[in-house]
Amino acid sequence: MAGPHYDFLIKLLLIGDSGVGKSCLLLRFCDDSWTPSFITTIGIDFKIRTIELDGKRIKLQIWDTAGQERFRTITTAYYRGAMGILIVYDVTDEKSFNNVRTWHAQIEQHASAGVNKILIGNKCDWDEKRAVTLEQGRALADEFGLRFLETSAKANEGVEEAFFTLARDIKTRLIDSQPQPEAPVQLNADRGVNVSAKQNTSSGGCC
Amino acid sequence: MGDKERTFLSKLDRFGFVNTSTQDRNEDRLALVPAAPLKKVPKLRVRPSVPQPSAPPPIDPTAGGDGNTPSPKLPQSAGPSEAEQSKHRAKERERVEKWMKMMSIKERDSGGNITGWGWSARGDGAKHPTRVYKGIPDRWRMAAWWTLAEGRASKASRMRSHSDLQADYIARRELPSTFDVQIDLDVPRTISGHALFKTRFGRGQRSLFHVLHAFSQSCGTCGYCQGMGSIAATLLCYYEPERTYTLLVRLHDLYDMHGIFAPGFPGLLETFYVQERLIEATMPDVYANFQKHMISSTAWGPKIYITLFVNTVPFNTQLRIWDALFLDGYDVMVCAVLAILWAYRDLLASPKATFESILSLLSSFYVPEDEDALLNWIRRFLWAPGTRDRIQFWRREWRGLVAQDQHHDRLL
Repeated sequence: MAGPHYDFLIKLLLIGDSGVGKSCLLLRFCDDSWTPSFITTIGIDFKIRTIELDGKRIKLQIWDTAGQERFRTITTAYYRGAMGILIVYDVTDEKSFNNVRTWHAQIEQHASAGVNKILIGNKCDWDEKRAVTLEQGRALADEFGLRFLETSAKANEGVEEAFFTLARDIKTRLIDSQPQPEAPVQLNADRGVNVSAKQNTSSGGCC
Repeated sequence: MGDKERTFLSKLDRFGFVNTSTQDRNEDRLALVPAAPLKKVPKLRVRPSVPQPSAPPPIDPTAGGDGNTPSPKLPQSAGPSEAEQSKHRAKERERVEKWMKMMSIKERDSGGNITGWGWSARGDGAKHPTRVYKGIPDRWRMAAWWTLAEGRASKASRMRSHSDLQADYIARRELPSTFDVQIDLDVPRTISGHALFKTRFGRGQRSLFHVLHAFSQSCGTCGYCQGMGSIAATLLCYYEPERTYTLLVRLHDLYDMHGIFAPGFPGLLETFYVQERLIEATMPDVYANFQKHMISSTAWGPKIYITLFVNTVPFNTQLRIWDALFLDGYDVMVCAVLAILWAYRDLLASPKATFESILSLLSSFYVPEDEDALLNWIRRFLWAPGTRDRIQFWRREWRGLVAQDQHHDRLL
């Protein structure tokens, strides 16, 4: 019988204001496509992509969330099981950048301790509308001790790097630090562990 | 009309969509809803307590997948074949005639245009519930939805009339709304495949903005909630903004949408509770698998229930479900979801199913093999003796749990 076609399962979560391009980043990363006529994410959605890191096949289960504040009662339940979180803002929308503080506070409140994070400034191809500089983004990331990258889902810039950087950090934290057994570590592999708050069975730590 | 416009218009389907929704974002998650299992409708026990397992539908041995994790078949094509379409057209012409006899003119404006309809007093009018489930002919949809919703409004107490609501709409269009930024952000990404809504700041997008802007002021609790746009846009395909606004108010007041949109989504959680009780009672094997794999209703349900199936099923199927919704109310939504789960029961209950295989299936764009079979299942299940009572019982049970603060951890 064929086993799961991957060595590890990593769960990621995309958060950020409405309209910053979370779903577009996910579509670019998972399906390598982009569409200007995207639809609003209602509630929560997920996509899968399996990548290879240091000779290991890693399945990324990526959860996309609705940005409107009202949906937080639904989406915050998905923070706990996430091993990595991408906080996305739009470099052409200063308000979405200012709200990064709120999103960071949400992580502090709802996510597992030690969760890996990355700050993403999306739509970096849109020079004439830019409202947040690269330096401002980096400064905020430094303040919170986050990794930082600017991306463009449209122009396919930095998207692979963003997800790979986060995945590598998680692999280092959760997988490489574990004692190496003979058989491959099945980190939640094929167990269908829900990322809901009720069931904190992920190895993402507990608080 | 220029050549460019002619070419553009020639590519539209009968509802005005540029591309069929199957080519949309869910292309990797298309799922054919098989018709065969829908021939059988489970019976709900009148008494609650012990759920009686009903026989599972026949397992489809040809169901796709690599034999490892179960997955649904893919639809063969984006839409019905030419032959099927012409068969449907003939059938629809027949129905148009029947509806003409069944509906009567109630009101005309000063220009002689019909502004109100009713059910014909001559016998035929009483047949409308069954005929609604057979599919309202598209040219009668506008009259039928309006008549069903206004019929509900006339039976309810203290409902504002359409002319009052029309005045509200016009007044509110001019007033500021705190939700404008969010609405403006969402308008261009709402069924943008439709000709009416394609042009940024075009007539359709402006109407959509105006309706949502006005509606966001209509209920102080609900304001604007993402997902309202898809509903308003569907209505704008049939009505002018004033009537669209009135129908949104009717859906909010009389079709349980207040609790679906309100902060905290109290009605949505209640619906999840009813849905889960229904799954437990009719498909205990599926319920057990959902428990085992921790398939939370919040992971796949909000989109369906908040947008009333927009972008979850082909537009025509969505309209057919809405036909039933306007007739029988929000319980139709739960029954429609249950019908789809029923059709996929063998995949959802399979011991080989995984968290991902189940959730991928539940997040699919569902293309019914046979729309009539789907609607017929919904009707037979909902109209079966006891079904509505059971649903009401569970709604009350949930409200009781909420009142006593005992509702936490009561959902999957």
